[in-house]
Amino acid sequence: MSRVKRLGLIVNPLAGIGGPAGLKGSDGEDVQALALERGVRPMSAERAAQTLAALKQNNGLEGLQVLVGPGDMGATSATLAKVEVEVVGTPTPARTSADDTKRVARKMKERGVDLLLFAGGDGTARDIFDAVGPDVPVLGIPSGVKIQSPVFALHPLIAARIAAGHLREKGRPLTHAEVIDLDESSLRNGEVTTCLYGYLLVPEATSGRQGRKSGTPASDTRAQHEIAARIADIADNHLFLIGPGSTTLVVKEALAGGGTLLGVDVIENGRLILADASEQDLLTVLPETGAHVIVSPIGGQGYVLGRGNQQISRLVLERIGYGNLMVIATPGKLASLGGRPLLVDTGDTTLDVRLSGFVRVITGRYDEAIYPLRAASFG
Amino acid sequence: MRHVSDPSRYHQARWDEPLIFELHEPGRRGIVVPQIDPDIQGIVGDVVEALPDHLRRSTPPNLPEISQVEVLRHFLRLSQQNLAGGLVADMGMATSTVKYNPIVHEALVRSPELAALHPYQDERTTQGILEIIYRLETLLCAISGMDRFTFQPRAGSAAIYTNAAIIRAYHESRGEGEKRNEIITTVFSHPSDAACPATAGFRVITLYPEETGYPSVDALKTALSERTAGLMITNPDDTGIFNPRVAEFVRLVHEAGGLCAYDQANANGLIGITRAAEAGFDLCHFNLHKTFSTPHASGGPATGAAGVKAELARFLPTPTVEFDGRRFYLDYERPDSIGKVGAFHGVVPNVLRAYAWIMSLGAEGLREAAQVAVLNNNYLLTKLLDIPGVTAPFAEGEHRIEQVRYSWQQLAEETGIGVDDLARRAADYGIHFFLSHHPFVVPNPATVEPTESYTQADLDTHAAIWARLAEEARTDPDIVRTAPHKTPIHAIDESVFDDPDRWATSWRAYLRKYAEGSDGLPAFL
Repeated sequence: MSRVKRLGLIVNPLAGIGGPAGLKGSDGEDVQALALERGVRPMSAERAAQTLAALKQNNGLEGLQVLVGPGDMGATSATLAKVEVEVVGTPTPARTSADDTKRVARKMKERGVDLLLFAGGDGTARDIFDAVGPDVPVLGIPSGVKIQSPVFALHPLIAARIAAGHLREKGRPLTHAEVIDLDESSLRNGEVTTCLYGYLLVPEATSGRQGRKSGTPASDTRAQHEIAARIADIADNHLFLIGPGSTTLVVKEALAGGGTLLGVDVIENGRLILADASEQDLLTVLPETGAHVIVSPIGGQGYVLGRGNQQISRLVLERIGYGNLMVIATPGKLASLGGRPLLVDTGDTTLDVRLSGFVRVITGRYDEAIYPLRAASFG
Repeated sequence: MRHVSDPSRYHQARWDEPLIFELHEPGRRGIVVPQIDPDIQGIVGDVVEALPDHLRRSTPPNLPEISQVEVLRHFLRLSQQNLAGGLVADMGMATSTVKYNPIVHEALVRSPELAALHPYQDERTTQGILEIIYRLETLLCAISGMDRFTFQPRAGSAAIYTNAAIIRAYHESRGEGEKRNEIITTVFSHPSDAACPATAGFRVITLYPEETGYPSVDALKTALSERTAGLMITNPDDTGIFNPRVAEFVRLVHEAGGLCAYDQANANGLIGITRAAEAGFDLCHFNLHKTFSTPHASGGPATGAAGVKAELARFLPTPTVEFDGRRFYLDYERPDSIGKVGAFHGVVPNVLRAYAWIMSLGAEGLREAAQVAVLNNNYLLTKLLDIPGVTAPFAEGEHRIEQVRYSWQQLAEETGIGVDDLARRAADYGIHFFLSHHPFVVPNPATVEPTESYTQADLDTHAAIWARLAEEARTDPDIVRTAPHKTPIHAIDESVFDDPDRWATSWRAYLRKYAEGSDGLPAFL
């Protein structure tokens, strides 16, 4: 007999309070205090309750054990939604912090949740990633000011639907989606800088943020394997320097049986010769000719260079030759860009401009797309 | 006073009707076939034994055994549970436009003059239908500027495949078949413009649009090379936006050594306005069911009419219908032909229907049909954009040709109600609409094409239903999320559509995948 399935819920009670207060984010105690001073009422508990209530209404919680964080970190939402739950973790201070989110998330992981819902924004997604890593199925309920990471459903009700689909049926495809966050301190100084923090495992329907119940007929997972087959077709006697990402990981697995999700790996003739390499490592190992760089855009954002793969620097690209830069992306990932161009931000504006134009993106074994690529500094 | 039906009071028939295989009861009969008279039996012997072994089944077909009343009840109920083409499904079936199907044409195609013909008849006895095939070809040549057409392809995709095969044959004839292995298309073209050349062995390069809604010339230039075999695109794309630089696209592809095929499956907004030949295209195709009034038939039998310029005519499928000034005849002696892509001359009833439609409208009538289709579409566009929550991405503020791909993303962000919810709720008002091909480049898409045959009141009703859907998403999201409530089938689980191990498109496949110890097994098995 299979064990009872468990659903976890963690709410970041302070997520999103910076928005109505005009503070461009909610990270940092001083900002949170300022927002509360300005009379902002946190909404994340109510939005999480909306998801729980919709799940309950559609019998999505039947036969399920629901674990929630204490107080405003989950229990309050459960009370609002009239859902019976087990509270995980000890009571928290009135003003919670990132550490509280991480502490409860780790507990949820220990309890073996089948899906961990979290209500918050990009900052909360970072905390969840820090706590549970890239192997626990999670799904974001959008409640923050910044929702850049494609780990969030479009709306709390859509989160309920995706969660129900994942919990009810086995074999629903899961995929790694990016945890992206703005550097809020630079944002408040009028600059916009984003970072790729890591990858969370989410139901496949999440990353397109379309809220469909299922993946697309030509699902992204299949497209990733097609792309990997294309690379494998030309792999003999080539050295590949492969950047981070879910699609590139499938390529690494196809070529060498594995690699890192977050790192830049070097693969030659079916062997992983360098994992999670630094720029210096790459320069040391690169041959004079015959090397290729493979990168994939960050979902929803479109960065192919300069986010999460800074090791692939100007020096590395010069050595390999700009003509040997290969961009790979599933059609679904390109669609998720909503018509926005691919971006490069190598830190060298001249190089960024030089790389701009149109690139051939490998989208399948026999398919390519012509897609615009722009220097990020040119907006 | 004229009574106008209120869509909010619609309710579809709902029967608890099983599949016909589930009605099976061993021994039940509709009719009992009488035994052969012993006298006759004595003369002819055992008829079954007289058949060659390889023509006889070793086991009888596994058909359901049911009574006449069960058969009649079953199919009547199924017909009542249909959305009904020609009535309500049309306006929302953009890109696949189920357009006006004149019922009077059915009298023509069911007449014994056509229905009793056999394709193997001596051509001296089929001069009438050969003349109609020949004349329709002449008309489509005039409408498109092409020089020859074939009606053999069984649908639009089959016509695109035919054109891809002709492009391949052309390059092979010049000794470049190996080298020229790339077809260029656009992401908003019909997906068959990518899928069919892929089936024909080509690699496919897809162009993505700029803010204008169509790709830039520079994007095309990036795709072009000595490997370019051709360009296969729609214009306007599924967005309803016309690429005004299409002639330049064609010129550049020609300069690179490729051929250009115009997917005019749906030419509703263009007939009598523009022609493929004037933009320089070498090939094109029409779906007779999207542009020339024949029934869509949901996957066939349909007709994709593929046309080519004179230089490519030698590659057309065999046979062609020719006229020597005295009689019509079939030409099978075509050594460069790509061969057959369908049996005989295509779906001849559709050839007759399309011919009748064109002849009854005339040249001016065709042009007016296109103009009214475009007018209706832009009228509906204006009305829909008044509804908060919807946008028409790309080329904002500009007119569209015959259809629009709308985005309900704003409504989804605000309410959590996406287009699949809206689509299910729309069924409660008796209408249907198409979302988009995958992947969704336009988020939360809905594609609508009103065609030329609807009244202003029909368009107003359609827009009013959309306004109601958006209002319900805000005021009563649960009723939308749990829709449909007034149709025979409620929300279904789409997840199996993705999975070859779980989808079942026939009863036999269903039994094979689900009958043996699977936990998803229905109780009756």
